[in-house]
Amino acid sequence: MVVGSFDAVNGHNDDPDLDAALNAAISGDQNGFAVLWRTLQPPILRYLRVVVGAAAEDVASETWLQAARDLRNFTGGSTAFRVWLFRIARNRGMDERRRAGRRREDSREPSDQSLGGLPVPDAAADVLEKWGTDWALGLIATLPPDQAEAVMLRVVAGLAVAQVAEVLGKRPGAVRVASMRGLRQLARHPDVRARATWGGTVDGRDADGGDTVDDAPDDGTSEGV
Amino acid sequence: MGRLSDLWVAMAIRRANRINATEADRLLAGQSTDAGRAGVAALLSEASAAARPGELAGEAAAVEDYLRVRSATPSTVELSRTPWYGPSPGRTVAIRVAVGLVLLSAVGTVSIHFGYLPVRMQQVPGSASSSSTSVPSPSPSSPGARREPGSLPSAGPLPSPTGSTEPAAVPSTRARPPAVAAGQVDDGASAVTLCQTWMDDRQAKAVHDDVTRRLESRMATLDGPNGIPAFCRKLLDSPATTAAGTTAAPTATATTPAAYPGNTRAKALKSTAKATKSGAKPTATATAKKVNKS
Repeated sequence: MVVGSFDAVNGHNDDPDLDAALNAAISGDQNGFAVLWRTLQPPILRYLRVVVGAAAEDVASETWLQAARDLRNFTGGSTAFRVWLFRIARNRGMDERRRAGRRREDSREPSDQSLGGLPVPDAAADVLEKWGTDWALGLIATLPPDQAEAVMLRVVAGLAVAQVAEVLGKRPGAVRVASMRGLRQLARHPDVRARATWGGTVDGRDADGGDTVDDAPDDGTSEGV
Repeated sequence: MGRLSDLWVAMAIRRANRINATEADRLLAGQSTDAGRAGVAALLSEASAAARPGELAGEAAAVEDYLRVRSATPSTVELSRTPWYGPSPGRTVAIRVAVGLVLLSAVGTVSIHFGYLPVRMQQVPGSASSSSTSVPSPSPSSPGARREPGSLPSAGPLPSPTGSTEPAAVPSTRARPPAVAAGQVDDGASAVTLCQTWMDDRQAKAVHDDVTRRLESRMATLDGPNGIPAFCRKLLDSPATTAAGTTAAPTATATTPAAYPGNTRAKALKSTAKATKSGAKPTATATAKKVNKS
């Protein structure tokens, strides 16, 4: 889904095609902007689905609107643009979460959505979406917010640790720990274990490797980064 | 014991199979080949799968928004880049007027509080400052109305020319008539008070230096401290000052302790009153009365 070469340390390298589209969009070319949008809208939307849930499309629209407004002043390559865009998306997502919190306080009605989570899936949708992208995003959305954001920005947005740290405003070590804990928690999830068994890739062991011990909460203190 | 060792082994296996940082990096980069991580790898692969058509549905609207924003952006950018504190005549004048008013009110408040009003302002009867504070403005020629730091204390309330004791009942320093200050020629009444005080102190053998110095300042034509008795006798002998002195004596006795720390003068006056009652030594006032009668 992502464009350009990727390595685990540096994330995406600048993509010449995306760089050209970026320069064209900065100079006012709508085709260049369309290329940017087609390339980055899916990861933006998926990231926002984990962060704000059902309001992801509205927040994504706000993100692109602000990006279009401020694109004239942007300087840098496609990687920097990716970081910049996800930072805008995160800020707009935080605004939406605050608004949602105020709405919930005003109405005093129980909401059918958790903060930043996805709608509670029903059985039919669960069957339809089994093992699909929505299933994966739904599982990631159950993580604590910092872990979910770290995993999404690294996997879906294709950003490196330093770039994720720049987006989240944290240190790279904190991002690394958060993503690692998020993966551990995902590996313990029953659906993920079932998926491993269903895929026929596991020879009797759990995906986490510990089939004999109950899953204790991961305190993250037993193993260094 | 066997169960405990089994549990220990199980925990060790689980800990060894946990995802560590290196493996997490590989998983996040999509490079994990460990079969034990197949579930997590599949999950991450689904999360970063190719874009679905529904996710690209709003391209036309996004491009339209982009064009609309781009057409409106130049003026917006220029406006937003204009510094808010830029030069504006109206704003400059308003700021200056506001600052001036604030400074004026602050200085006026401090001046009224500490009595540092300008001379002209104090002389105007019924001026804003005196009417608003209801405090009588001190005479510009009597700076002793406000006690200067390090200056001499007041010589006590002055006797009223009408024989009333009202000034002694006023507790405020500002409400009192101007007190005697060093080096300043005062009216006759304050000189009488000083003389009475000096003679009382002398009788009690506790002459206060301040009083002596003040009297000396009024006796510039005479020969120093040696001339004080003659000066005071002459002053106290006059009928007007005698009448004023007799009426002022109780007032001074009642209020002087507050003016002199340590009550030195109050003790002296009390001892003088006792001596007068017993007839041992007549006071200067009594002496003056006798002289007048004769």
